Amino acid sequence: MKFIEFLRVAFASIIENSLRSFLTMLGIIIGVGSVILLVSMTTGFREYLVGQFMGLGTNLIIVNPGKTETKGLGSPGFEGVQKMTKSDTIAIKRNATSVAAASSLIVGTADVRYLDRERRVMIVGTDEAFIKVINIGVDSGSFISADDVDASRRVCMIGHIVKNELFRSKNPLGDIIKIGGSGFRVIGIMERKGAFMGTDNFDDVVYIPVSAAERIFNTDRLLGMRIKARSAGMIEEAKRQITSILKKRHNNKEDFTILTQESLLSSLNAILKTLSAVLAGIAAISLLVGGIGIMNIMLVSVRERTREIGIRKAVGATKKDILLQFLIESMMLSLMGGTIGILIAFTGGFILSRFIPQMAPVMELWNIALATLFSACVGVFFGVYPAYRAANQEIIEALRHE
Amino acid sequence: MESEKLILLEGVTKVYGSGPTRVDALNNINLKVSQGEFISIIGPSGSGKSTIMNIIGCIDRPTAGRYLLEQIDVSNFKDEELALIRNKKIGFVFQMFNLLPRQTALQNVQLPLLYSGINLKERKERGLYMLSKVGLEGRWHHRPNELSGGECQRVAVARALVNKPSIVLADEPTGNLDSKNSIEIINLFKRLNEEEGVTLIMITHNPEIANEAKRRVYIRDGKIEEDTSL
Ligand SMILES: Nc1ncnc2c1ncn2[C@@H]1O[C@H](COP(=O)(O)OP(=O)(O)O)[C@@H](O)[C@H]1O
Ligand SMILES: [Mg+2]
Repeated sequence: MKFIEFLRVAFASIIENSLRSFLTMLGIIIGVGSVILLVSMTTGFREYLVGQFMGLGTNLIIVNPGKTETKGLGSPGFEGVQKMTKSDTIAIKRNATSVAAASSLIVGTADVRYLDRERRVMIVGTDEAFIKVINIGVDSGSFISADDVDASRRVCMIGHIVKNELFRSKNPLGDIIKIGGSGFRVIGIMERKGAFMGTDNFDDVVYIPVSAAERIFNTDRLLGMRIKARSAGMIEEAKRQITSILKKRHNNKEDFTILTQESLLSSLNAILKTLSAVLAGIAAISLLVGGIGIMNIMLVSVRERTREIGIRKAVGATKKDILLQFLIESMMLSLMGGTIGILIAFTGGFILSRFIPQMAPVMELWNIALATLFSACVGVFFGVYPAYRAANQEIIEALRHE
Repeated sequence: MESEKLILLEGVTKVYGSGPTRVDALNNINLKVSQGEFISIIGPSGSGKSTIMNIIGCIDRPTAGRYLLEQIDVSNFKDEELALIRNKKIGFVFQMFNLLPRQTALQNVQLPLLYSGINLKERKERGLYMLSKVGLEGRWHHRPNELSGGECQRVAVARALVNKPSIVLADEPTGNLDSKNSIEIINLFKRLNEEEGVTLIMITHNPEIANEAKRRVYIRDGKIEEDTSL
């Protein structure tokens, strides 16, 4: 009963001094608005990265030569490292029972030419297992076969961008393109994969047998292997098997790094967690500042309304009634600030998602609920002292106050 | 008879400050008020009239002595208990009206009922009824700054009466009013006292107004010097 009336009085008082109230809320608005926007952007970015990683393929294991000391994404060092070759891949294929497919990878760039059209593209030398490991399909024709690799045939699969740039609307199947001077027959076109991490990597690629790549780039050193475990549950076992097979072949040295999507994501999460903590810290500071602003204005409000407090107490308001009335007012101030902050974050997020889709903010309910709760708590916390002052006002003095 | 002892002040003393700034505002006051009385308290400025009223109204406590309201000693009541007494048993009318400036006449009148936890519908009914008692039913939606001094004081009287208190205390209720409005307020008090049986204590320093009451108490230097039935 009283509560509704207190809400009404608090609201009326906020509206009456609307400019002052708004300026008071500004700290909370900025605090809540920025933290929600930043946290939801982090969340959106994380979801984007997870989607990209998971889109690579399921149960994927990445084996690269060189040992990184940390589990991070850093590039491996090559000191004292024995090169990794396609015979390592074959050994894994033969002996690792938890592995469903393993493919070699040699990557370089070369000029690719068809008639008078030329384009510098990424050349991926690999084998028939590649499309089993990596989540990518064939649009027309068929992918490089084991025979192609064994016979080191000069055949190639081309990505969509390569096809469009070199062949336009012409059907390229069976045509010969020049890769670094050697002729390769086009045996198929890869399915459109779209951007990965904001690049066109997957569609601006020519795939050739790994054996042919060895010759073009004049090396048998692999960039790495892409391996698929038989199931999610077998990833760990597969890693153990790969480790022991490779160590045996590399003088018992662990001169390679095994990454999984999980390990990549966990490093990513660790980074994002730190980022979130920093953001939370900034938010806490701005909410603190906002809270002090609320306390300041509530003290002014209590002073201005000394007589009103005296009147209310004279007709029977208890200390608790007065305390509650002013607490509600400060809480309402900061809640209104919080709500405006949330609305601004929403609007900002919406506009942002138009420009940077990868960072499209993902607003999570718990996040919004937490921000709302937090701003209410700020209101209560910083409202307690002014409300306490109000409640303990002496009636006679309050009534004498001008 | 029970009505004999609505208010009983026994040896009430009030001291403000200490040492060189010490003021003995009230000095051994004994006063008995019965149901249905209309008392005026008169005396020079600074004689302790407001102090006595503040103690009776439970917005101040005596330094020494006993105060019995309806036979209950409230001298040592806690703040919360005093708030309840102010709400249920006391009605105040002040010289400065003391209305909430941003609230309508009706909202001002309803205020004590709010702290009694009475619902909005009943608050409104009783508020309107009280406004009609003071002849302001048509002005219920006006704010104090849209009302004359006399009207404001009538709103204050309605507020003092709305919770059916045992006693109405008025501290110089005509102090800020012209003579015409003063007479109106005094006539309202007399009518409420005679027709509704409201018990009234009214402070004034105007002897003419003081003589409108049924009993007159004269205070000087914190002591009751004279207590006359009129
Ligand atoms: N809060 C206070 N502190 C100190 N002295 C006070 C206070 N309130 C009243 N007094 C003193 O007590 C005496 C009685 O005051 P009051 O009851 O207001 O007189 P009246 O209402 O008759 O003019 C005066 O001398 C006044 O100065
Ligand atoms: Mg006085």
